[in-house]
Amino acid sequence: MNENREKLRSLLTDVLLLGDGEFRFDLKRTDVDAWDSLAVVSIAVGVEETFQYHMSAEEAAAVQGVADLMKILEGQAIRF
Amino acid sequence: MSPLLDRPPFGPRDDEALRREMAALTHFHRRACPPYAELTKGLGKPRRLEDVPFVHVGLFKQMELRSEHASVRHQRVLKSSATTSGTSSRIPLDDESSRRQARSVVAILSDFIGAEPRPLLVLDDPRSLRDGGELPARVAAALSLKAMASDLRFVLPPARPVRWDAVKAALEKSGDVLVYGLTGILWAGWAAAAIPADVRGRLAKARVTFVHSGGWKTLEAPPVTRAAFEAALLAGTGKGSQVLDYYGLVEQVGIVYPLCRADARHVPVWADVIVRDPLTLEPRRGQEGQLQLMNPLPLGAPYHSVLTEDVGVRLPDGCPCGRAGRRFQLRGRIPQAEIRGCANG
Repeated sequence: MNENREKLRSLLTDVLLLGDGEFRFDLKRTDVDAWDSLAVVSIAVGVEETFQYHMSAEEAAAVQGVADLMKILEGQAIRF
Repeated sequence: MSPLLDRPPFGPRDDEALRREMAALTHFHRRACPPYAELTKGLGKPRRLEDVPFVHVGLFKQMELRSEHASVRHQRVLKSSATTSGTSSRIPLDDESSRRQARSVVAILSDFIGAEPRPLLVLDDPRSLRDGGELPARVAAALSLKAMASDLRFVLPPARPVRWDAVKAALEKSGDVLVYGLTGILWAGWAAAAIPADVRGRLAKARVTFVHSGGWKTLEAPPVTRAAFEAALLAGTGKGSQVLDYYGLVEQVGIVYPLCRADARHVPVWADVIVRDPLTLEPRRGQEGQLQLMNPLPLGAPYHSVLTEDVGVRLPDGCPCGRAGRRFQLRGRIPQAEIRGCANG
């Protein structure tokens, strides 16, 4: 796993309170109970801290799964 | 949803409507939380607001009270800051109460700082949001402003200065920003900090609203007065900038008591503050005493009526600031109460 994939896995596992082996890169918001409005904020703040990219409130609210998040970050030249 | 939330927060009070809601909520928690039912066994239906049973805030450090009901969907646990004994209060949050609590905070604070959304800068560690399903009270306080924010940035990394680059980025997008921090953090991190010249230039043209909560313990050596604190924050900020201090407890999440220019803390119509004799716990009128706080918002646990360790006095209704309704002054903490870094006025 490349470094950015590992950083993203670690961030989302923390925020979404996932257990070992529960994280998948195809996880959707509807798959995870803990992906609530607080998690949306926590992910946006965590992305800024981890990848130095500040997500707007609209961007953060529109994320429906890990793939959406990766797409946003890839748009900022962050490779996975 | 409490119908009282539909009213202006500082308009005419309807304490009979509040009593009815508090009585119904007390009944709900007695059915949904067996330890609470045991604690309040033998107490009748509250006929006055003073009769609503209270739980001492210390109990939330000793046990996690939780109300279980089909209508309650629990989320994370809200955790107070550590006390001198090393214990924290733990308050279970739930979906519906969180919605009510967010609406309450926005209504109360909007009356003081306006409702227009603006970027929110939080002087706290971004990693505080990732605490294994627990939410520190100071972060919850910051996030209670989220509904008033068009954008959100946590700008204080651990053991480092404020991220002035992030502050500047927010100021580049808007000349009107909200800044939240605990009183001590706002002092050390912002008021007493060396702000870079390019950020100072932006701040001079911006309307900055500083919102802070929590006590002044960390500002006691050397002592910092409220006037000096506010002057330091506002120095070099643009027209219309202001500082707002509010009192709130983790055990009363959703209710904040802002301090007005007449040195009074205002109570919204959907909450109440009762002053009690610290020895007999009888209600006191016109005298200083121990504060009981109540509100009809929480479903997930019986923290709708709590006896605090804080001391205050109710002031006559009607305030020189123009707000109607109930108000009080915070005077300190009861002797030998644990220092938790809050509520010493």
